Amino acid sequence: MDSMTTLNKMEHSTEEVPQIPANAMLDILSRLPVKILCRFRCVSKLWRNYLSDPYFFELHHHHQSQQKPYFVFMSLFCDFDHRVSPSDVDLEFNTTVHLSSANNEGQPMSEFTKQVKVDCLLKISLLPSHNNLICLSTKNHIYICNPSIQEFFELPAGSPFESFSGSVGFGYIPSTDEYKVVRLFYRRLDLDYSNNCVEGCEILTIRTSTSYVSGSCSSWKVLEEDCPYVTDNFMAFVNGSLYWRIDSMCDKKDEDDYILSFDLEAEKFWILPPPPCVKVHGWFWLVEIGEELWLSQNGDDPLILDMWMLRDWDVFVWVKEYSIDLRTMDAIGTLPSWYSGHPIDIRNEEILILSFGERLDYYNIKTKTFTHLGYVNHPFRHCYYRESFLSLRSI
Amino acid sequence: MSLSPSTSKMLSLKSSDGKVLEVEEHVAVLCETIKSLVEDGCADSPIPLANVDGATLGNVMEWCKKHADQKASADDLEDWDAEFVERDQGELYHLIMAANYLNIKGLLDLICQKVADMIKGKHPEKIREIFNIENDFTPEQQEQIRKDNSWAFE
Repeated sequence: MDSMTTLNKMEHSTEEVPQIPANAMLDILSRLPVKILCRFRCVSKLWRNYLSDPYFFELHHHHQSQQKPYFVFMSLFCDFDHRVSPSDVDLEFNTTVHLSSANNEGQPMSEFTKQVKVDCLLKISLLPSHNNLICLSTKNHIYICNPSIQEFFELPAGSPFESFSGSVGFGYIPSTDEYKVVRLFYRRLDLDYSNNCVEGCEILTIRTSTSYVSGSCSSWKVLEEDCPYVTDNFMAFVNGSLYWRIDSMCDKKDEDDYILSFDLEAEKFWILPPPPCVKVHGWFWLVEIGEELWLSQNGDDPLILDMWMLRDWDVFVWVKEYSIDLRTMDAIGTLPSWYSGHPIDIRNEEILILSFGERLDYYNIKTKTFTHLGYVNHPFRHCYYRESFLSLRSI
Repeated sequence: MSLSPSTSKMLSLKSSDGKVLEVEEHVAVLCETIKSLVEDGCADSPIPLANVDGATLGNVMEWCKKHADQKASADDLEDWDAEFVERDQGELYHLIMAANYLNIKGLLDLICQKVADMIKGKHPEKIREIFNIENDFTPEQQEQIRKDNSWAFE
């Protein structure tokens, strides 16, 4: 066998390197991230043409949509103390958003920074779409970003009415090839927040061209139906619907209502029944991991993190998949227990957990041990995206 | 048509350099090109494969044999594939051409991914070297492209 292999190599090395057929070459290139491909435009005229061709963009889009999505992590830098006191909430200031992306194996891909206007750093959200674009929202501003080409756009302003928590949703609808931005806002500014509050809902649609090269966006359209509840700004997007936590201060029509959902295609609100533990312990976290909806919660013991997954979408069966003891982490004694942690991702039998708002650890499901990754700037956000050349310059 | 191993007959394949390889039919039909010949009843005489040399044909059939084995688990195949693609560039290129010509999607996918991983971290200069590509830009054109895509070079 050994001598056979050597023979093969010798036979080939005496020949000229064959030219790879164009279709195979395009297949190879369509597997690479956009940043690397833009760099490869200077290889030759042929490659420049390949890598600027809408046909190639479509092939690339197709290939990337079959792979595991990439990740974007966001951290913020500003001159202010980020723990802004409540009296400062009307103050708007510029801050630098630092976005880093990682591929589906967790290797860093690229990093870039943008200036955004925020009022309170804790109320900034990074929203995934399950596709090429991500959305970054602050109280009064909504930005759309394609991390692959580092494009960043501010959307036109919506209704002048403010949104208490910056409740914005974002998602992609494959059947119509549209992105929708959903903004919840106060109908009246003088509403007493603790009483029966009414929020309106408006939608902006971003359509992409057939070859995924460019996009165009509609103006805001206010829905006739009001949003039934006031929500927190934490959101997940799974299975075509957006999910928000219903604000615990809000008067409820039904005391069992905890999760507000919005069907993005039908543009209808609905209520997702939570697992039973939610009624007992209140505060919980919604997160999408691998296109599944997860709910994490700290139970009686604030240092035990329970992870529930929505197993059945027809009758809404939640199953507690993991119960993680955060005490087995290193050096947690000095950290506050009020905000102990939530999962970010699961891959290769390991759960990536962000705890105490600033530390990242891998939790091994089998050995039940932690591997400490490091600390991140607070507040820290993350979401999935898929690589693409989709440009928003024409919006 | 039944193509199960027990009933499989032998096919002979003739490479560009005149080598003849005897391969079980259920293995060879992983190549869509050969499969259509078999289905059309044109696979009796040695099948001439003008674009595949003997050494490459041997490698391709080794891959087909492993992937036709219904006892191999997905994990097993993954490990085996990872070892299979550990080859020098010349061999990988010949495999791409053969997989392309014989229309074996699984093999083409595997090798294309391997080459993609290989060139991922490389500079454009190195890419030209790897694929034997001539730089047909003037220095000015080159500079302009770098400028237009400056963010990607950071």
